[in-house]
Amino acid sequence: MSDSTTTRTFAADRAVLADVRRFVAAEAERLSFSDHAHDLQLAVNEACANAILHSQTREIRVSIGLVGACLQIAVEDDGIYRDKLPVPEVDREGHRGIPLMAAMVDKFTLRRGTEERRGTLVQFVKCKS
Amino acid sequence: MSEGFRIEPLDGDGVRLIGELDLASYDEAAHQLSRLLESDGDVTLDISELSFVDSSGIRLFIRLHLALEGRGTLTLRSPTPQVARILRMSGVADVGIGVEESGQ
Repeated sequence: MSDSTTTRTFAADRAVLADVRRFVAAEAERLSFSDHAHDLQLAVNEACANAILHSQTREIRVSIGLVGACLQIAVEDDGIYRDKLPVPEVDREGHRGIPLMAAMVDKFTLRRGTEERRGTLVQFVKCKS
Repeated sequence: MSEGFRIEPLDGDGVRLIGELDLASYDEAAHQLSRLLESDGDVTLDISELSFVDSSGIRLFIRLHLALEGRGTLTLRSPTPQVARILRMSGVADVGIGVEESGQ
């Protein structure tokens, strides 16, 4: 990312989610993306919630900056990505986090942390429409 | 409970959800709302002052709906436009939850 990038580190604890959202809103405002603040908050919230619930990481790093005319956000942990495919017949209630975060942004990529190479990286790109 | 979320009883029936419903407030919200399931019948949640909902909140609404099944309907009343959009995208109406937007 560019010189405009700000990174903040959060403990991997569900109590930090409100702080994460405040950080995202403040950065969105700083970078003139206030109109998209809610969608960016939700996307980052979901990425952090997944890390907190499933990855056994101790901390989560959130970086926000501009790439060209678009906002790029990275959410990175030191854990292992644990995913489970939803079984619709028995699991009607969950597994909305990833589709929801993907729907909030223009581009969404996920690099899974594994036993051999720990650390999951979720990246979002949001452009002004 | 997260300081950014609370539940208040309404004068009539039901309760009002206020603030941000997320993974941090999920357990306490689930605990408080489970009491509404003790009586038979429909459950209405006023969400006009719910400023944020994430996938945990969606999961909670769907759990309440599933717990009610056959005995009543869960209705979410007066979401803000932002929350209404997230509810639509999450397909809560498709599983049978009522969403009453203001002006309807």
